[in-house]
Amino acid sequence: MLRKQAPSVELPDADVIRQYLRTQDPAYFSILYRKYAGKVYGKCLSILKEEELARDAMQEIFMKILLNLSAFGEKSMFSTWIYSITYNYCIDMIRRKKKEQTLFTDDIERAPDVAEEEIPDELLLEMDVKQLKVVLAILPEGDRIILLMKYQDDKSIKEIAETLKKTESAIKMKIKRAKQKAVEIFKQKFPVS
Amino acid sequence: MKQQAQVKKEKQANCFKQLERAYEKAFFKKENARKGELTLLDKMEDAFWAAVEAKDLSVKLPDSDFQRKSSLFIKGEQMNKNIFA
Repeated sequence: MLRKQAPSVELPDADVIRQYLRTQDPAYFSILYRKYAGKVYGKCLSILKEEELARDAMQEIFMKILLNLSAFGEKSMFSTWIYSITYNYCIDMIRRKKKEQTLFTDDIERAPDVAEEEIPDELLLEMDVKQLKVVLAILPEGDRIILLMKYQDDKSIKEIAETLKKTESAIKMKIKRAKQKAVEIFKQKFPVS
Repeated sequence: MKQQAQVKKEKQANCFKQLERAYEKAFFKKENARKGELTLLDKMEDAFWAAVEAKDLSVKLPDSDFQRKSSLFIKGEQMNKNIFA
């Protein structure tokens, strides 16, 4: 089956979904695919690190979106919904691969360290893209995911907590530690000459 | 307008968003446009529809109106149950 000729008019996502569900015309789903495939692929690649894995994951994710489209609620934005599916799918993949449930290195209880330093966002956000790729590739999966959710998707602490099934205070702590690790890696890999 | 410009500036200064744009750009890039090379997006979409056809997937129409069905969507645990069943 070849690519579908998408209607040329620009419609809001909710209208495209309604049209697809009403007509079952793949051209409408194609609009969604072409709009979000790049972003979904990028997230999969950032999390899973291997291009082939990321491509397979992306196709599976769109398959799930296609099959569950009628269950999408307009309570949230469509992008929020598909990114949640993306994160959940990647987390599930990592867990299956590791054959254990621990996603974060600090899931094994660790006493909070009062001396832990708060890293300003600027230190993290002002890396260049190549540096960020290096840092993300070294960070543990859980830390990668949590930083992408917060700084790429602007998800709230509450939303991250819901997706990762953790408490909001645990998420705050994990973000703080993920930032610290990211900046440590950055400093090690790219020392100021 | 000024606020939009500020948001744009902030996005440009955020390397996570720059990374997202870089991956997207790569997705739309043609290695050799003159030879009619497809973008990665085109190739992936062709493969997607081929997989849909191979699996003979047919998406059920909602049995009632979309709004009512939509309200059945629930976050978190239940979403996982639905999606990853």
